[in-house]
Amino acid sequence: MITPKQDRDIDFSDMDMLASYRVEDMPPQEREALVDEIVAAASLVPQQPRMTSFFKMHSMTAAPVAALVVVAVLGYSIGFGLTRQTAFSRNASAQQVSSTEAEYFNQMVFGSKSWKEVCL
Amino acid sequence: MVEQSSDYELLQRTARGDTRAYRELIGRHLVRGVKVAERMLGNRQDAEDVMQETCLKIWKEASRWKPQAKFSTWLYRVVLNACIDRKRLVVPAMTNEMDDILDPKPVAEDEMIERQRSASVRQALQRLPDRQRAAVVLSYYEEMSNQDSADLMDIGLGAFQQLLFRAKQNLKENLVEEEEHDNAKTGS
Repeated sequence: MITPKQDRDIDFSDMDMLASYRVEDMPPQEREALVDEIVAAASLVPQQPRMTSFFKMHSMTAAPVAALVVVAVLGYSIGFGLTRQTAFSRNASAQQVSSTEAEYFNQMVFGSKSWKEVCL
Repeated sequence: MVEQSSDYELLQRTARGDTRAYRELIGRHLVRGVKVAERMLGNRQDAEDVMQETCLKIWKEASRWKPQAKFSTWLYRVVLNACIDRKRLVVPAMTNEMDDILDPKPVAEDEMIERQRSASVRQALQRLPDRQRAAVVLSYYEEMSNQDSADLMDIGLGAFQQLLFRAKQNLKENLVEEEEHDNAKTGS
């Protein structure tokens, strides 16, 4: 089994001085006092609510959804606009056709004179 | 026998506002965290402040935790980053080298030499760039494997080995300088 020590390819054996740097252990009372202090401080600090974190953590999910909504609205608007425009154009063409047909009919029946001149 | 809860279980309870679970969780990691921070910063007071900030961060952000890495890895990463940030902001405080010298209690000569050596190593370590110092602290003092240290520092294994190699070279030079400095002091 490889121990963490063996795993290290760079050893510090030629720097034996390093071992002389000792950090004193924290006495149990001191440790307890620090834990008490931290817990007391924490009780005054509000925790991050889960919902906020949900949206922040899942921003990758929220972005495509927003994009889809925008595309859907745009698509609907454009589609609706085109439909309206198509209907309008169709009416206009129909009117134009009917007007042309009437003129043609008049021309055929009444010649160069208008039907009013012939009848009246 | 009482079964011990895992860090993750304690964190989940902490996220629900359970202060007993929070107390147990920080109690587990406090001593080691303070030691790492003390070696990074060079003094106990700043180390305790950093650990306090880190623990408050755990409390606030407990609900955001995702078990993608070991909790302890994340915790020591936060401690290291907080130490590096603190080093950048705060003017280096006088270390307790002066306290050692002005200590009114009489000490044996051997102990005096030992204290002086300890202070020299501390100074040499503090003169290293932040990331190099972190590499030495994790690898030598915390006896972590290169892979674990690299994960903790969020770098690749190769990058960590290079960092450690440079740290070792610089530390050697710093230690020689500190020793010469001490010899000059004791010789005068």
